[in-house]
This record gives sequence, C-alpha cells and structure tokens, in this order.
Amino acid sequence: MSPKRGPALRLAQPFRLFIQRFAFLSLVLASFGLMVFGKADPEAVSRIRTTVTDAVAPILDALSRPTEAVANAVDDIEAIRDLRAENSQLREENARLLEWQQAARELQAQNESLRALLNFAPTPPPAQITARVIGDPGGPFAQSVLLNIGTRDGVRKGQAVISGEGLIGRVAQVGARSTRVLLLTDINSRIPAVIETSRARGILTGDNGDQARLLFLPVNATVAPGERVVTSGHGGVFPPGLPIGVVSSVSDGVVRVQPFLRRHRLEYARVVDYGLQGILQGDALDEAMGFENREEGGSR
Amino acid sequence: MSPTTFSQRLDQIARQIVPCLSILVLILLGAVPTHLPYWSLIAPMLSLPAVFYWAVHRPDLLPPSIAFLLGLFQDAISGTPLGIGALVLLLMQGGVSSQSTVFYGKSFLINWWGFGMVLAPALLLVWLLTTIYDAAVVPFLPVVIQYVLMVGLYPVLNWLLARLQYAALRQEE
Repeated sequence: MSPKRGPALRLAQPFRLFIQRFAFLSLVLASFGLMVFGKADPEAVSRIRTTVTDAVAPILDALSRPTEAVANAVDDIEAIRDLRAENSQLREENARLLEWQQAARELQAQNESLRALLNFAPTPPPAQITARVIGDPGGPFAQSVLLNIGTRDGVRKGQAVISGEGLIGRVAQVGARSTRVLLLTDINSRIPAVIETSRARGILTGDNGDQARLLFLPVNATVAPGERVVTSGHGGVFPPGLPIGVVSSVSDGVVRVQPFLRRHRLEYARVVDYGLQGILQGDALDEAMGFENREEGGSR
Repeated sequence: MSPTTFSQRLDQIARQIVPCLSILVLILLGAVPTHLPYWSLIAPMLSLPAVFYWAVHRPDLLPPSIAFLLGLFQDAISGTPLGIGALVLLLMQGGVSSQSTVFYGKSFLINWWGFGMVLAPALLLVWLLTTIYDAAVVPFLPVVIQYVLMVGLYPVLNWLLARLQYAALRQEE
C-alpha cells in the first residue's frame, strides 16, 4: 500500500525524514528520561504501573484459569501414579504427628495455665486476605507475581505475603484490584532473617535465581546446611518467625538459602496484615540500608 | 484501494491495528503463570520476536511511537524498570525497519539468522541497563538461556504471525 504523493509532499520528503528521525530520537531520550525519573520519583512511576496492572488484571485473571486447570490436571495424574508410595509415607508421618499432637496438647495446657497466671492478653490473630495468582511475568530481570486483590480488599504496601509453605515476598505495589508481590528471590528484595536454631541474624537477598543469599551474618556465626531460616522481625517489616527456607550450602562465607517458595506451584497466596505499619518502617529500613527499591511509592 | 464507506474505513483500521494487537496479546500471554518448574527464571520476552517480524514485514503498521508504548506496557506488567523495555522495543523497531530491505522477501532462514543477530545486542542492553538500574549484577547465565530459548521459539512465532498477516492483511497488499 503506497499512498499517492503530490508534488508538495515530494518536496517535503527530506523534511518528513528529519521529523521522523527527530521523533525517534525523542522517544529514545524519553525512555532514558523515564528510567531516571523512575529513580528520582518512584511514586509517580508506580502510579503508571498500577494503572496498567489494574486495567489488565481482569484479562490476566481470565487467561490464567485455563493454565491453572491444566496444571491441576497434571497434578492429579501424578497424584494417582504416586498414590501407593504417598499412602505409606503419610501413614508414617501420621504416626509421628500423633506423638507431636500429644506434646502440643500438653504444651497448650501448660501455656494456658501460665498465661492465666500472668494475666496475659493474647494478640488477636492477623487478618488474612487470600488471593489468586493471576500473573507471573517471568524472565531473568525481575521476579514478581501479580495477585487479583488490591486496596479495595484492604491490601497495603509492605505487607507480608505467604503461601502454604511460608513467606514468599512482600507487597511492592498495590492498585485498586491488582497487587504486585516482590518475591524474596528478586534482586531487590531485602528481608531481615535469622537462623532458627543459632539465632544468627542476617539480611536475606535474592539474585533473580531460584535461591536466596543470607548476607551480613555475624562474623563468628556458624551455619550448616539444613538449618531453617525464618524472618527475624527486625526493622518492623515482617513479624518474627515466618518460615523462609532452609540453608542449602555454605561456601566461602556465602550462605545460600533454598526458599520454601515453589514458584511454579503458586496458585493462591495470602496477604497478611500483622498491623506492624510495615509501610512506613519498611521504607525507613530501605533508606537506612542505603538502597531504594524500584517499586517504592504508593499511597501513604 | 481508498476507503469509501464508514464500515470499510472501520474495517481497514481494524486490520491495521493487527500488528499492534498481536504484540499486546503476546505480552499478556507472557505474563500468564505457566506452572512449569524453572520456566519463570528464563521466560522469553515474546514481544521482541513479534516486533522483529512486523518491522520486517509491515514496518508501516508499527511506527516507533507504538513500539515505545508497547514497551512501556511490557515494563508495567513485568515489573522491570519503566523505560527499559520501551527503549529496547523502540531500538528493535527502528534498527530492523531501517534495514528491512535486508530481510524483506528473503528466505525464512535469513530472517531467523537476522533475528538471532539483533536479539543478542538487544538482550545485552536490557541486562546492562537493569544491572545499572538495580546497582547489582543481574546473573548473566539465565539471559543466555533466555536468548537460546527465544531464538528457538522464533520459527513458531514467525509461522503464527505469518498466518495472522495472511488472514488479516492480505487484502490490502
């Protein structure tokens, strides 16, 4: 399809080429401008993001259902195949758990009587909002998932997000009906964590892979593979004791952690409001640590 | 063929936004959870091969402004720093459409080879910009795997987009 060109247009051809080049260069500059602007005023950029994710959330919600159904069907087939082995494994586990149940009952009774002695007022259990995972835009450059809930459901920036296994990340961006969760394996994720048994404190950070690293441990801390890592609660972002993962390897002072997070199995996640005002203190923590998260911003 | 009636004009517009829409759909599909182990770590950017295809075959229907906006859309959805995807799609569009005589009408193998050639600097640029933006070195190996995956997927996408182009745009060509 070539439009018929009059003499006037033919004369204007070099001029048009100039305009086209100029427009192209402007757009290149605009891209760089956006990157710089995103660093300088993350809140405004975050608003552009939430507008887009809010708009596409219903579409992603619909698109994600068939793949979920297929994944579930595959799971079902695998489950049938492994039925026997799983059955005997569950019997063993059940016997072990019954012993634990007995221990738990005794501890509960003891705990209640001690609480009664101390006039202890228990904190109410935290409010949880269950959400479907509607988006998992993969790739080596960022690790986040999208949930089908938002501010109208009571989600706020900085809240902890957990799945059945443990912590998966934190709310990095909230729109009216979409939420972006920065996974704990993202290169920008920083979570105060502690080795469960030795209580050695550190900061858990991701590198966009499937594992995370535990940094800033005390120099004299001894860490062995297999030890559990939980949130430490420092910085007031997350409550202490949320399970994160297991130390997978220690070499040359680098402690790698295999998170309980299994990204390909994520179908539902729970956003938990521990009432810790994580949003303010979370930002303060980020600033204190001398870095800025690309997702910072949102309403305060 | 100059449009006369309103419905013809509407029909023509609908056909002309097919390239843009196809890229939009591919970006959305790329964000759907696949539930495949390790896929999320190396998931391909489906927008880049599509921009390459349209920049070769119908550069008139994929102007720089549209490539830029599609890149922004991709950044907003995938959580990458806003502007990086926009820049890469823009450069892909500009670079390939200015050289479209090299690729247009040539055999598929030449196109495939060309895509592999331009994809490498494109992904390298995304890696470099993300590393600078995050002030932390993004691991390089997953990017290499993503590159191989995207080059491997190109024939499928090329076939699909060629079918789409034939179905929607053959009338005006």
